[in-house]
Amino acid sequence: MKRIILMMVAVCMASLTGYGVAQLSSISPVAMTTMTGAAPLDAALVTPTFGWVLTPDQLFTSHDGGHTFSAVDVPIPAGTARAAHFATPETGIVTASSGQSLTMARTTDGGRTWRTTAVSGAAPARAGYSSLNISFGDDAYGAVLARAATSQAFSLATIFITTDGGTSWSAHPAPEAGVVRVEPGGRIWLAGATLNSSTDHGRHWSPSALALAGPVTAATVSPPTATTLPVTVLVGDRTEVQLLTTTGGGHSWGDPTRLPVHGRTGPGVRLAVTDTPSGPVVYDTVAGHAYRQTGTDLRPSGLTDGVQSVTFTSDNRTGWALAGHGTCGANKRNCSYHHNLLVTTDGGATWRTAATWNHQI
Amino acid sequence: MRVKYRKNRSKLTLLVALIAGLTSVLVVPTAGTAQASVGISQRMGWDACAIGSTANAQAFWTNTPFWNMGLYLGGSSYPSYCTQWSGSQVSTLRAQGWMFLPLWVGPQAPCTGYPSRFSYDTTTAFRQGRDQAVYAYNKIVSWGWDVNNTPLTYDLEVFDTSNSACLTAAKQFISGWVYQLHTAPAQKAGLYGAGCGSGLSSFANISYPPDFIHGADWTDINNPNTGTIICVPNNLWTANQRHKQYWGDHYETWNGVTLRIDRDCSDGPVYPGPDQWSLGQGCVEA
Repeated sequence: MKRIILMMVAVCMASLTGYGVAQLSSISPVAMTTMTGAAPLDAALVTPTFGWVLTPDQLFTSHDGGHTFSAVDVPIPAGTARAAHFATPETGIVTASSGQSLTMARTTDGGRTWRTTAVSGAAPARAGYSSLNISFGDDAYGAVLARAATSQAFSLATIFITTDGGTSWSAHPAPEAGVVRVEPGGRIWLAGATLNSSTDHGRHWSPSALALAGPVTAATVSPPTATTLPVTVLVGDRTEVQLLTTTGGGHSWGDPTRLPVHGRTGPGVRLAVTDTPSGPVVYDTVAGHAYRQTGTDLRPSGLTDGVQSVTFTSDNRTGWALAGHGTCGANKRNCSYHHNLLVTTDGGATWRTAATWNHQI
Repeated sequence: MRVKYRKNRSKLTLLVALIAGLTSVLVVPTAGTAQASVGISQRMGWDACAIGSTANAQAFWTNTPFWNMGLYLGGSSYPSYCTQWSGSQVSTLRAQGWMFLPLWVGPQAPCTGYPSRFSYDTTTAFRQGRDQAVYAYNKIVSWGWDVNNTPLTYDLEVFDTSNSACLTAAKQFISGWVYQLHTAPAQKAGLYGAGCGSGLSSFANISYPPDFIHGADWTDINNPNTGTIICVPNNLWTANQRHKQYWGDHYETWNGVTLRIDRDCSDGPVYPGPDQWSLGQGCVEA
């Protein structure tokens, strides 16, 4: 009861300070929160207590590890082409596309105030962008990869680079759409159907050589982790993740460890992989499976189908996962799509659903 | 199976057509039974160039809200990483229950940076549009489809619609596409593109306007209503002539299979028939 009263006070305080506790149909420190509104695009846990969830029209933050969420007003356009990065609970950047340009909103006070910058795009983004992906390597170097809004038969993107922590940005055509990862010091990895890297802030790109094992139907590359390069591979109808290593400074990758998974994926889908002190962990798209590089299935409990992203804090015990899957009743009726935000505090052995978005179709 | 008769052609074009016709004649259908070639669907669907297998498609059929599937046929701009369907695979997909929104991905506008582009020259662009129609036609013939009124949609990506020479070339190209598909045995000619960026409304009054559109409008993923497509006035393509791609590039998981898809909602022609009417999925206004 005491906790509930404290939470009610917190809600009132948040409202008074300009935050809105929005779109929450229930608030409980132990129960799952049912969210209404648009489904989450991305989420991350930054510290054991602070995390954020980005939707097409909201940014939610949590300061208690996912028990409660507050909506934060960010002066950026609504839409699916959005991305967020928080280095600390106070310092973050949220970006969204508006036509051929991006609006970058930066905060250094936990979202109370924002400084916005409009950044012009580069060819071929006349249509605007369909999705954004952001990464920062350190306080200075960061990048936003913006996928051009095209049909699925094309894979075009523009990359926006900052070398001053987001004060200024430059735009360059990217080799392809995919996922971006920036290392401390500024080396940029761009992972799509292939792996490319740039050491001159996106002006020039070098492809890496990947030696995958076996006959491969399709390969989707993830950015390198601390020790490996994960590649989601289709071998016929089966999906596996191959973890490659490099001895050439990232120019070539090989010696793959093959991890077959239970879930099936189509080309272009990459499985979530996290770094741990014991090496990478691969998360299956079918509930209840996650694998170490040795092949050991950790059999985590509480994970739902369709895990898309997993983040752990530096304590390697607390983390969030974002997952989504659909269900229907008989005869293709009463269909819903369920997006779940899941929380672990024991290094990923057990998960509980902290928030859920259920969309009737 | 019939071979198209082409009108007003030069000797060179005639030769091309004859070769194309011969190709059509020589193709052995892989699907045994012809089906009613068009129906009007007002149901929900999805499209993806990279599906991987018919088993993955099955997972997106069983106990899902999806009835229609955007089916990429091929074309010079269709990349190798996308799924290249064989005739027998397409027959399997059909047996699963899918209604198709067939898409052809050929050359793009001359002011774009795509490797495969059609000409700025309007006469050439018109002829190139016709050629693409023949190629798409031959593809469905090779699959043994009933070609009468079969919907075929051209994927015209975003281009600089403020470039008048480029827009004029695009209009001529699509006119050629539509003209050729209307040559007996006629198909229904569709145009896919971004509501604004491909200038869809610009094609409503060309010499041979598309029979229907497949408009990409990702401004509101909660609005599948085909009656509202950004930059396309409501008075255009009103008679069951619209598909709407209302949610672009995202992952979905159904029955343990995860695919990267776009979501579509329909109030327009699909292959095959019979007519499929609304299930209240939001594709048409209540």
